[in-house]
Amino acid sequence: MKTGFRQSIAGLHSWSGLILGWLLFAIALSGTATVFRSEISGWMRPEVVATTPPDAAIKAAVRWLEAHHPKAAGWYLTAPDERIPTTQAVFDDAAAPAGYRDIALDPVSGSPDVARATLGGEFLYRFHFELQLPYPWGRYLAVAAAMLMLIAIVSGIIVHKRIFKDIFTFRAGKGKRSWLDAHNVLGVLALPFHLMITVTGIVTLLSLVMPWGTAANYGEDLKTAFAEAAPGLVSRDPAGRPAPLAPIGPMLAAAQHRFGEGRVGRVSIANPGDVNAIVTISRHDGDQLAYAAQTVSFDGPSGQILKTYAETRPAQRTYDVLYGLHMGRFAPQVSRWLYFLCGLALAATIATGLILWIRSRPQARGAGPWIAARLNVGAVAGFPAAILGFFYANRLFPVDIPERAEAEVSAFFWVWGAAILFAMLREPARAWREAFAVLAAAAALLPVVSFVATGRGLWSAVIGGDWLFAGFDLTLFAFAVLAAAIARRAGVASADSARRRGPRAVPA
Amino acid sequence: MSPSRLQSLRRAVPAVRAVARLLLASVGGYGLAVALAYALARGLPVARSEATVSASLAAILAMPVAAIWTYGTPRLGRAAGGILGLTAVLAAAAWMIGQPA
Repeated sequence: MKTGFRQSIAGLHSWSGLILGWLLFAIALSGTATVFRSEISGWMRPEVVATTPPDAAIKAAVRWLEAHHPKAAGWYLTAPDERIPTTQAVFDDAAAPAGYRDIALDPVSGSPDVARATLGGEFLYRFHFELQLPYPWGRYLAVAAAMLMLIAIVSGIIVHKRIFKDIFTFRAGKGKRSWLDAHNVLGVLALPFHLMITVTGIVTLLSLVMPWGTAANYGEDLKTAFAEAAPGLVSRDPAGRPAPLAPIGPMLAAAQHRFGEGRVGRVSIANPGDVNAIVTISRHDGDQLAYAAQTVSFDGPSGQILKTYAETRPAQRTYDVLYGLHMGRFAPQVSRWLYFLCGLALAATIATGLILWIRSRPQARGAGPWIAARLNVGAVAGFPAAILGFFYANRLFPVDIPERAEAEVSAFFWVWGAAILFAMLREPARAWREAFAVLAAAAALLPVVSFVATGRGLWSAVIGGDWLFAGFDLTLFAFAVLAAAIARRAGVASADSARRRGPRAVPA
Repeated sequence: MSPSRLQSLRRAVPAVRAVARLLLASVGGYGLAVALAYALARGLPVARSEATVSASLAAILAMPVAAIWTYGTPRLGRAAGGILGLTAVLAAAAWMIGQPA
């Protein structure tokens, strides 16, 4: 039964990979881009050049929010750091299309109007696990995709005979064999990362996918469950009696004093303007592996400390560390690039797997394989194209159009949709070539367009030591080269297979 | 029953078995994970909040293991017996321990 076992697991591998493979590719690539969420946000707001210490930026943000959104149920602020100059603010706002706003506030004035309206890197971050679908359906779909991914990885390891040898095996120009080698090299080389990021990705949505441990111990009493899970968080309902918020500066200083070496990271203000207001200050995520390890809570109107908390319970800490591993906020520059490269490898493993699915079924006829072959091009070329479209929209849309941030997001989906439509109408081998040629040109041109639109170009960035802009442009050039190479290879590979199999072959 | 109908029924059997295996791996795998979460959350000899987190973390790993085991077991009956049997044992254990006060 040995062959039967291997065959069965191989079947599980290819089907679990295919069923949400196109979505998984989009999740992997948006997650990879999210590694540089702060940098993308910075690039997309070229107007913000001033920087201030984080506590001054938080003070400015609170002043602006008190003046403009005093009725919000809560303000959730992320302090600027060396990676990003703006304060990120999330708060409920009935006037916003989504019911809440997620905006960047200028560090000096606290106002969002200094920079063009854009979601910046926050869009790719949210898309990564919400897929632009209403809560909680996007998250359910994302966690289902992650679970299939985990099954695909583990079954892939099982069907794999020679893990170590495959790192050094690549036979180019041999059609399906080359795709299989590429799939294996990319999959095996960063295998620990692939496993880690998939499992920890599921962990970030743990309460959604596996709420049953909580149900077993707490039944319907979610309030107690939450209080015991996060004892550091003080929560109380608004009293309905107004009271001004005490100055935030001394609270920041008191929290800083308790964090010692650590920095102030997030500041959340619940029930602002109410007598029951609570200010919770968390340590910066970049200071430790665990996510949200240490908090200090203050009574809003008096500024008195209500509670300080550092997580020490082993299981909860394990959870926090797993969460932190996925977020990768702790990672210094070098590890951040490793996250990025491994993420690209994961996306490429998924893409080559999708291509292999078609290549392994050259005799397949009917609507399924026909659509799958075309969706491969639409998804694999279309998603990076959509990200580029989002960046182009950021540079080209007028600064003063209404709901500008939403318009950028629309541009993203129009490009993605157009790419999928293009792939449906075109013979796949040609579509691969053409789509990647367009991608290469678009990536190479973006730095030029950005220079014309903002006056900040690669040359002045390098001279001025502006590594954000220089790095962004250089990364785009690297992508242009990669896309051009794929466009060339795709052309050669399809010519090969056409010669070998004759005109009736189904190309990948 | 006519021979041709019998034949078409026999042809349908692999499809039915494939669907059954798929349901066993997905729905059955999740069911097993839920039962494991319940049993561990109540049974682990640590603080209630700690048991809850540990149980949930363990449970998300149970699902892929169950799915792969289902596909790795040649006989569908044996796979079903294993998954459903273990689920029943865990559910019974969770039920006997009961919700902590």
